[in-house]
Amino acid sequence: MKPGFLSVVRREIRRLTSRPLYAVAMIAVPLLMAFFFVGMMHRGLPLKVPSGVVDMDHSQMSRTLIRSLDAMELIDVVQQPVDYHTAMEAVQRGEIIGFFMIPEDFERDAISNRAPALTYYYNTAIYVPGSLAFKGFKTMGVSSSGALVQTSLTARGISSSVAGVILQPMTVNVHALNNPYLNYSYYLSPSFTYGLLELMIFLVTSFSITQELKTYTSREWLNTAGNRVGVALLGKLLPQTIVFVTVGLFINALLFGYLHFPMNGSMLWMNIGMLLFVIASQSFAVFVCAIIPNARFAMSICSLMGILAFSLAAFSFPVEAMYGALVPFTTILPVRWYFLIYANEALNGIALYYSRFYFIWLLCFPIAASLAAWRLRKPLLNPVYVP
Amino acid sequence: MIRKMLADIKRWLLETATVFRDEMSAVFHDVGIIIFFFALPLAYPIVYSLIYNTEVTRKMPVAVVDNSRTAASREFVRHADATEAMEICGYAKDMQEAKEWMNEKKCFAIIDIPYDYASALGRGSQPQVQFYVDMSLLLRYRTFLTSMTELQMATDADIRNRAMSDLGMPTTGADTSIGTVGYALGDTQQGFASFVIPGIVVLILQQSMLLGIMFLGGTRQEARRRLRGYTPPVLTAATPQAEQADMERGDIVIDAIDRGTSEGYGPKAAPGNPRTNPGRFPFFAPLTCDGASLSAQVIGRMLCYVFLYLPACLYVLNFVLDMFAYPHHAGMLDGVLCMLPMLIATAFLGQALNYFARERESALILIVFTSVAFLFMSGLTWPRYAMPEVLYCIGSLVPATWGLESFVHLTSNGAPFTLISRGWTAMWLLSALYFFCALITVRLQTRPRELKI
Repeated sequence: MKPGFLSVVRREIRRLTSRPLYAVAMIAVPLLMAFFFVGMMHRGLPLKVPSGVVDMDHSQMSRTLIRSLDAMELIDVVQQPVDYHTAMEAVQRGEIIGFFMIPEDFERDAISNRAPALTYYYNTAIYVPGSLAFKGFKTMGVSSSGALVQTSLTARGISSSVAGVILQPMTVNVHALNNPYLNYSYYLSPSFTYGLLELMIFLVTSFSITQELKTYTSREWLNTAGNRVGVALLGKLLPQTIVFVTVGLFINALLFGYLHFPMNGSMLWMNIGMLLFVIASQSFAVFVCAIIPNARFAMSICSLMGILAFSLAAFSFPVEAMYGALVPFTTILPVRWYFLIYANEALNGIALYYSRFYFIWLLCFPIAASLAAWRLRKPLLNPVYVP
Repeated sequence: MIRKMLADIKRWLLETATVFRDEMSAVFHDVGIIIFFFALPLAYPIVYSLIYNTEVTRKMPVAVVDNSRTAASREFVRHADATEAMEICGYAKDMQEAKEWMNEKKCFAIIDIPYDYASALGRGSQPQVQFYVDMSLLLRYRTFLTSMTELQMATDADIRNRAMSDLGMPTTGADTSIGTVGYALGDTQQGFASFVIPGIVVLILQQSMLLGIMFLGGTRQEARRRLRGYTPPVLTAATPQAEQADMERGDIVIDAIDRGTSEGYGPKAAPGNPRTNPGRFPFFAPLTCDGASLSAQVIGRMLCYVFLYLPACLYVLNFVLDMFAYPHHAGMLDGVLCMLPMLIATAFLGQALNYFARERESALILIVFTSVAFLFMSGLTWPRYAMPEVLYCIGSLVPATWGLESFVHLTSNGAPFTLISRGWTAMWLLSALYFFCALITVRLQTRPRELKI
């Protein structure tokens, strides 16, 4: 076979199909994890937080309060510990996330205006359900206090509509734009699935390149490409690009087509972004391999950055709140830009114009890789495997 | 009979000790493993702490569309600016401009004040302020929401008190009929790092150990392939020189095994089918062609890994938490004691998973991504009670799920050791389970037929 691009492609397809590892890493793992994330968070919000109520009053009012708490969608009263100590132990054991305390003589004090205090405790060491428990308890506390004030105001001869205004002279309507259900899965499923795809692209790309060095097949690889590094790399990576982009498009189809995640913009640009994102991730790995042509170091750096991406790409903790010195590290991760494209295109559905820089950033990765690729020639000709 | 049993136990202990020693030397002769076992647990917690150490996001830019332009609306905006979450980045002339700012990411929320804000307040007809929040990050929304709720309640109380005194009523009566006080437990500042780090460090312990063991396993399999089925007492990674030497030594070793005099492990290794080696109790019998019995191999290596991880454990569970002032209520020994069964279970799990490690580098491909899966299954981000049954069950098979839960309750909630007994017991059960899995893997990998050349 004549050396050239096509023979490298053919050689690479043979290599990719020669062992199950590639199929597992390139297809099975990303798809499995996509199903994993959407399956795990299919409820959108972990409602019905297991909680406790410590009722020291045992009055009609306290029982009504417990029933209303249990009826909230946020709270599920699973325990009624006898005292603070028992309730706290249940929290420490992890059986309940938080508890609500109704003090002794609550009903008597409330009716006679002696200002009893409802207290509630929520475990924020488990962040999300802790926050939800807080929200539920606070709503209950404030609304029961409000109901009581309303009763006492109407008792003084003020009409109930006026009493309502006195209670809340002004209101703030909070609009959660494009995600009114506060669905957690809308953030975490796409971002983590993309992050995982990026991680696997990093690993497979660096693995497939450094494996040639390890098994001393790199010279033959370069020969197949007619001794041109660029052709060798392109021919090697193109079959992988096709597989990864197919997997990526499938993930997009699963999320937006099948599961109806919000898609307020253009699917076309999301998919073009996916193509650029895959190429950018491959370029990142090629760049690392070109700078450090050593199996262990290149793959370690790729897995390090791939894993840190889940934190650094700011899916949950915003970049502007991080230390400034970390910002450069967030920019060198392709998934950061694809996540922003997702937020603009799919979630917020704003014009492509606002995502222009994200696309440009994604284009920078292949440029950087092609500038560094020449460095691979020497190690490819004289492969040295340092374990 | 008893003397024979004692002799066998003694021999087994010797074998275990030999395996322990050899594994130590294998670890310390391999820079890759040293990185996984020592550098990773040393550096990763610091890196994660640096990422999240600012704990909260505050002073996020907010645009104002003030259609009222009155003293009352300006007061509201001033108070909004003074909250923890918000910083007013400017007055937009209309919603269109404010939206433009939001699209350009100049602001993450918009306060829209109606034109009749002040007059509606005056006539008591409950004006509504609209607050639009960008939802591309939940943490921003959560912070905004908390601040806005507090602001609304404070503004309401303020206006109400004025109105009540205008009506000639005592203001105290309305305000204080029932007080509500909330206390955050565990992560009392509700910071992001204080919530994430105590869990993540536990996961780092497990994952770095798994990676290291898989790397070792991959190296061992590579060597075994080179040596045609025999595991060398001292592992060397596949440099060309080592490979050459191994190929030569392979012949010698195989000769030696055939003669039954392979050095390295205490007793004579029985070639062929070692099961038939007479006169030894099955558990202690050397089942492999590598000399040491299966249980000695698995336990000896486990002891080596756990021993090497004790310093990392102390460091990660105490000093990291202290350095960054994260919740740290667990005693030094409590933390280590809590982690011990997790480390043991992980050491066995790694040896069981070794079946899949054909070479060093594929360990990375197979293990690294599981960190994300294990993090989610542990219930740190998404609580376990809200998971589908299947994932709950799979999560229960991961040592770190229980380790993380137990340790977070110990260190953040200050639980006494007796209260984490559920997770602790589960980790011991997993240790037992994975011990048997590891036995099977070693048995499969070292079955004598691999000796056939």
